[in-house]
Amino acid sequence: MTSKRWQATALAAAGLLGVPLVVGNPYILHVGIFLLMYVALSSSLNIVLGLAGQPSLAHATFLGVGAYAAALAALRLHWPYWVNLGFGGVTAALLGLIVGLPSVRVRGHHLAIVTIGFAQIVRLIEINWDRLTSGPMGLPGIPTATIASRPFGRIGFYYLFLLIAGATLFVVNRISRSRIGRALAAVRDDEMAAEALGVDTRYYKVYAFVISTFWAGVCGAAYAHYMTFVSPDSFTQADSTTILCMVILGGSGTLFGPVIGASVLALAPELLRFASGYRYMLVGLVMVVAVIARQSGFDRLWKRTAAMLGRLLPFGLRGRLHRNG
Amino acid sequence: MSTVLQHTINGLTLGTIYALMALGYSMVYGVLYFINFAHGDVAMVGAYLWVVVLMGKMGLPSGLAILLSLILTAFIGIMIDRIVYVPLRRAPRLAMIISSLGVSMILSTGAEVVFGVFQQPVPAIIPNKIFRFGGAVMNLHHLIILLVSLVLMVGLQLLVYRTKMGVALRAVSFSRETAGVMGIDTDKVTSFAFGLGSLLGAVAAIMVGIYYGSIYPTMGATIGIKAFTAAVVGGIGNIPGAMLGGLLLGVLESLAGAYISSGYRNAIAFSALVIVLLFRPFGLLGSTGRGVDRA
Repeated sequence: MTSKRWQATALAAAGLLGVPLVVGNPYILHVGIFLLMYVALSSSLNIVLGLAGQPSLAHATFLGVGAYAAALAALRLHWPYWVNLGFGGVTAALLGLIVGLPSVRVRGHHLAIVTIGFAQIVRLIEINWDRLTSGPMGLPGIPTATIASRPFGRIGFYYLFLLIAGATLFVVNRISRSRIGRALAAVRDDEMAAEALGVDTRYYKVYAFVISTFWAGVCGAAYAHYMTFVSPDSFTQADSTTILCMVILGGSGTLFGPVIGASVLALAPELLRFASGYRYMLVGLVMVVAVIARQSGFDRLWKRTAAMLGRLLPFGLRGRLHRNG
Repeated sequence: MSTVLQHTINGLTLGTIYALMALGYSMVYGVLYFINFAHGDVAMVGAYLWVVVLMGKMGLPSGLAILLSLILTAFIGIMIDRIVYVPLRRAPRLAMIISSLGVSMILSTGAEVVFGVFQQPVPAIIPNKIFRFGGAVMNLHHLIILLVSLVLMVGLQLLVYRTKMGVALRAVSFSRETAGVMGIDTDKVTSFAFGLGSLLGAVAAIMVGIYYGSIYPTMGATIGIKAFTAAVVGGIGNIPGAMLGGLLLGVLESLAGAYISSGYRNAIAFSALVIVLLFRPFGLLGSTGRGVDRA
């Protein structure tokens, strides 16, 4: 990284760190927290989808698994929240390993189906295993996170999610610039050629699933302690689809694409609140128009904007890891 | 024994509905090589047009209303293709998938706003008549659903293999470029696939309404996810595969619900399908050939 990029990174970090000091409005902080959560989720999905080229339609499920793991650890075992963050991540990663294994044999749309099937199974377990998850009622009363025996509050959680989002982006950046990242790119672009060149494609595909789901699980654990309530309805197929759209709309495989996608799709419903019932219609419209505009003619404009942003943003969109598409 | 028969009949009825819906996914996949996630929602709009607009508001007789709603749904499918997907013909498939998810969102939330989120009761248009055989009970509407589905599936098979449009469809599916060079109007063929797929989806959605006695705005997503699974498990792009996948999913779901656990019926059906894919990664009737490989 050049010194200029370091400066830009430091500037952005300082700006984000300063937000809670300036903004007192709890609603805006709450939106900010969710925005950061979606940044972390879309960036972690980017590892599987963008870097390794494997479709996953179950990312919200891993968020849910991490949240349930943390909630149960907190309620039944009285573990402190910081242990639960790791516990949620590890539990989700273990399930990520199980979902990743079929990717060794199953590809493309078929793999997408396997992940959907898995998501449905986990959701039904959450609903039906009453003794463990208390079913559709969910698990209320999860203790909030504390620091020096004082509760976090919104500001504390803002920083926690900022930390998680930053860590996820850092991991994506490090992976993509390493030997592992090149191996994943090889698997994505031409699996057969990668294998012929001696890349252990099975290992790297499963690796991508495990790392990606770990961060989703950490997010889930933080979510559980923030909301103090989890239920099967918080982690649905629609949420997984939304996260997928964030990654693709922003540009999968790029470092900042998912961040932009998450910002657009997480803020759109909030900005469109004036439209009340119609707002998700408008969100859908935004998606369709964005894709078409980007495809026909807008392409150059988009590239120019991206190049301009690249000069302003840390790491830069120029750090994009492959051609888009 | 008779209860096994009973659950199999229920499963087959449900399965033919899934199969009809799965055909829509498969047909569009066949010509454009992408999964049209808006398909389930287009079908849902068809069911709403029938119950609420044509029968409810305009007071048309049910038969005529069904016919009109099918035509309208086919038209909606074609219009969506023309407006949303035609500009994306040269775009990467991911772009098409995202825009189809956007269309799905517009349609399902649109239906929630226009028709309300609650379940809409469907008038019983088929008299409640019961047939008994071999200890199993079969309602008249089960029978009609099975028959209509069978006729439509056989008709589709004939259309694809015995008509000029069918030849064109298969040609475009095999290679869009070559088909275009040979003088086939590929956009017309694609529109036809969208129109017919949406029509079959609307038939499926109307049947779901008759079967359960109600329709709701998210039904498109609920049935869509199963139909989409059925299409992929059968071998996507493959018409007999879509039928086989649908029937298999319906029967599995019904038997698992009856004999293993009703709460986990969908989980069991989905696990079985995941296992099928592990052993047949391209679906039951899919081949590793062109098309599937492009997934």
